[in-house]
Amino acid sequence: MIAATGREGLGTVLTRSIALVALAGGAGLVHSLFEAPLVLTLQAAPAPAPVPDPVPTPVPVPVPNTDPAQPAEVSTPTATDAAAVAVPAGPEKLDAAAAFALFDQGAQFVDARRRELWLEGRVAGAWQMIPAELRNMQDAPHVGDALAALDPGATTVVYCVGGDCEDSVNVAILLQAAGFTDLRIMGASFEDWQNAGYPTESGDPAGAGGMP
Amino acid sequence: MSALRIAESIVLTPLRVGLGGLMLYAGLLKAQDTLLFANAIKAYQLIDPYTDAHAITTLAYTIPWAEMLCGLALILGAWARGAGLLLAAMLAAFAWGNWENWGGTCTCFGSSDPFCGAQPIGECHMLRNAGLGAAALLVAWRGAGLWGLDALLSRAKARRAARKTLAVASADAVDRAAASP
Repeated sequence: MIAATGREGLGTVLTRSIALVALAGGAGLVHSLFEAPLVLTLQAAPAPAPVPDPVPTPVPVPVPNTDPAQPAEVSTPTATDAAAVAVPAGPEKLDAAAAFALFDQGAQFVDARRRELWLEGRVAGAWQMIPAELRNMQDAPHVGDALAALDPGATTVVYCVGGDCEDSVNVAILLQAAGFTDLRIMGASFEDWQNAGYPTESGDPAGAGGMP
Repeated sequence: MSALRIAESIVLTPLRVGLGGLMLYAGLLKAQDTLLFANAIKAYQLIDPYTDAHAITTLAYTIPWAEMLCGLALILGAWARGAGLLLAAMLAAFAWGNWENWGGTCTCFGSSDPFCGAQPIGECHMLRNAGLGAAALLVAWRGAGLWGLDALLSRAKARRAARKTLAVASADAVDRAAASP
């Protein structure tokens, strides 16, 4: 216990501790204004062992350089905790039309938005998973169902809310670590897809929480 | 000024100045490379970087400054008890983090840990945190001692109060003398 031995009571001591925290927060805030923003981005695990499937050469996950003015990058642990390697900046994200072309060719889709958004509407046939769920699958059984159903060797298109959202890239990198070999990112949002009149569906499919 | 208080100050002063210096050093190292420190926080895997990246960034900027401010306060002996309490709480949190990441990498003092070198998180780190935490708690309990700003300001305040009391008493005596027949 902290005994008040001088003129200061415990209340004063606690108040000063809190004041120091507030001062530190303020100083940190000012400090942050003079530094490049810390961009927390994922780094991919090394390419997994080749899948026994005659698919074309694995294509690295395209990671858009969303803000070249922010060179600082923080590595993020992958699902496998394997030694990380940087994901090279890839081609542009797919627009809705390009993604639909892949859809037409039978590509599988993964929705990296929150489940409630997925329930409201999604690309027809899209499975749902967010990065945190992929990392803690015991809390998200539907992710296990999705991984069991998805073909790691098939073309897989991942999308999130569009714009600068990073969850599609993060999910793609985690999927790559899980053995997926042909991953693409749709930069367009679900709304763009919907507005273009491409196939959609909604609601909670019966059964395992994955797809009907 | 009792002999006991002087003896206590002889112990407290180097303790708080040493602890403050260490914390100032640790905070400076972290503040100079916020990105490295953010990486270190993330590597502890106590905060989900996907959903709570903002928390990592906030901590990466706040912890170094909290360490530096506490260090400065301890060196000066100003708000020493508050700084000691905050430091003890922070060291307890760091110890918990180390416990959760036993065998991991500690960037507590950047890459130049004066206590445990570059060895993985283990007993040395726990002992170091316990020692520093005990020192911080002692300062939080006993204050900065006689030679800190807290004590100097307190003595100055007491002197001012004594002078004021004396002046009032003198004026009363003069009034009484004047009123007496």
